[in-house]
Amino acid sequence: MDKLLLSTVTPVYRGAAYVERLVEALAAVRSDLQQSGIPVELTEAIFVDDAAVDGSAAVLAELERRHPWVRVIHLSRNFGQHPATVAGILHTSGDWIATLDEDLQHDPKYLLPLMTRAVTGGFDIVYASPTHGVHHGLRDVSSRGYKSLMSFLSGTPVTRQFSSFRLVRGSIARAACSLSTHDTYLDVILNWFTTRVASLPIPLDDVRVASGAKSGYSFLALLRHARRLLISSEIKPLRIGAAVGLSTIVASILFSLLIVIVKVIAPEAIELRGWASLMIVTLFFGGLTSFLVGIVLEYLSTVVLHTLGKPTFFVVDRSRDALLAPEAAASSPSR
Amino acid sequence: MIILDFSRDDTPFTVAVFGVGAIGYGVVDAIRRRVAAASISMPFAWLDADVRAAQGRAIEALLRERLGQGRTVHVVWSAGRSGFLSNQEDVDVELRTFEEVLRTWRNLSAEGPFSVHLVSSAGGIFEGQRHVDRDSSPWPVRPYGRAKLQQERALESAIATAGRHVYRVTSAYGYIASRFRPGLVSRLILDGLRHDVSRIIGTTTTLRDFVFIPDVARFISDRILQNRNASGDVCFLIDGRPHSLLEVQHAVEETMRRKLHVAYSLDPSNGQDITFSAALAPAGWVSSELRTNVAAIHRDARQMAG
Repeated sequence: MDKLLLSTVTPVYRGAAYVERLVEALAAVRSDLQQSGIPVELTEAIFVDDAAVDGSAAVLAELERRHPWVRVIHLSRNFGQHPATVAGILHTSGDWIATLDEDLQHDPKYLLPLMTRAVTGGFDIVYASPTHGVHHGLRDVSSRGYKSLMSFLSGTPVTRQFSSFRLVRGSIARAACSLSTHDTYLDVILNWFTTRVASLPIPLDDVRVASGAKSGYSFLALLRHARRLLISSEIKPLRIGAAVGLSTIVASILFSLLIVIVKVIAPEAIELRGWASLMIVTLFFGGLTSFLVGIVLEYLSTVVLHTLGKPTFFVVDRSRDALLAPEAAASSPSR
Repeated sequence: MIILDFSRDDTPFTVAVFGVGAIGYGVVDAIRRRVAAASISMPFAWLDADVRAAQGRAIEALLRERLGQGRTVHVVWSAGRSGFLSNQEDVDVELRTFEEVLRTWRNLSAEGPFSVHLVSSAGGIFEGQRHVDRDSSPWPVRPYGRAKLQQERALESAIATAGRHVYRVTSAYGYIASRFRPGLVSRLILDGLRHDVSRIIGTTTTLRDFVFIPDVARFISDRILQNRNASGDVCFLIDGRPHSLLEVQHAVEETMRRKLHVAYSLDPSNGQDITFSAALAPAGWVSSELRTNVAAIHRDARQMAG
């Protein structure tokens, strides 16, 4: 029977205490799928050893020996979660790819619901949306606040949904990852390829913090994460700045015309000589400077996106979704 | 074809390489880098059966003479004129030729230490299959893949296990040389340097497994020089890491710092993914990183271009 192939990718940095349980949970999902007759097969679970600091590599090596569907990739140094995820995705061959954290925060039992949501809704990406707070209050609030701010600034509402527990169509994930650089935010690049994005409410619990251990992310790591999101996004204020500059030029020209008309029709109305012309010159050249800076930044933004490889177009084949949801696939264009 | 005569660890060897294309020449080159070998080039006609028969008799006589001198003989078959898009007629010519030489090899294998190394096609035999692993069954869908599987089976019935080495190689790419068919990476680099349009069979999302020809050649030459009996297992010379064609294109573009003009084929039958589980790779096999090799091929191509 032809099946949809599912790959999972898990970056590992400090996961020695958790990865064995994660593999057990994945094995249970794999076995359930095999027995249920659902046309989905978990073909591979890829763990990316991101120069783990706690002996995770040895645990992973043992798991790889025990399970032929577990594959471990060792990075030469610590590159961070996003690059490790990118490396993992580029080693997959599944129709769909799920990314999960190492610390059991993302329960594999939700993989099938995520796939069902994606396939029945005709989506290319489905993010897990936490049903309740995952971390401590301040971190949850600041994370939500930052994503909302970036969503506003970049003009992409989907930024609010970003989560590291995601299911992505394989072809799109691999295409996005092949364009990623050391400093790009994976979800922003994914958004270049598709706007068919959904979320599924799923309970997420930070098992690591609940057990009294330190969070996998330090404050500095979170700041780096935020910076990566900021520089990967197209920032709307660049255009707002240029638009304000252009409006100022137009306003200064209109104001000049008004002054000229007043000077001709009622010169006695101008009591203070020099003030109006000074204002006009200031407004005009201030507006011109803002406008030109806006244009230069816009050019710069275009060059950066070109360098990053933002695609002109991308062809996608969704026809295999029919294996899991024939009705949905029939009502949605396959390519 | 090329015949190499050399000695290693007091054992005299003769290696006959049929098909001096990219892989065959790579094997010859890899051996020459390791040992001082005397070489003889002999013609081998594909199209004229009478000429081929006469040449075959000359090659057989030469190899028999070498066996008579107490030399260990290794024959590498990396010959082939057909490719993925070849029709049945093309592959039939190749199969007939292979069966002719196989009859000779069977006779020779009874006369002394004699091993055959057959370079086969993993992509042709498993076309359209993803994540091919030990449980996957060969299921060729084109004349090319069926012919490759037939060659393997013919070899299996003609030569004893200990003297039979089969290498299933995935999409191979290597340095650019005018006398070889360029693989995808070389084609992209070559076209990029000339600002030509590259026509690619597949789509941007098509997944393939790419191996570097010097890695393949090194592995086969190691097997020859180690002179160990074969286990009967087929060796999958694979990377185990699928690459989408878009990723390969992007890697070449980044290396060349130039946009490529690429036209992808719209025929969906050519766009099927073919990927392999890394667990299939044999012990001792090392597949080098595609991006590093792209840079090396590009540097080499630029030096050639002056």
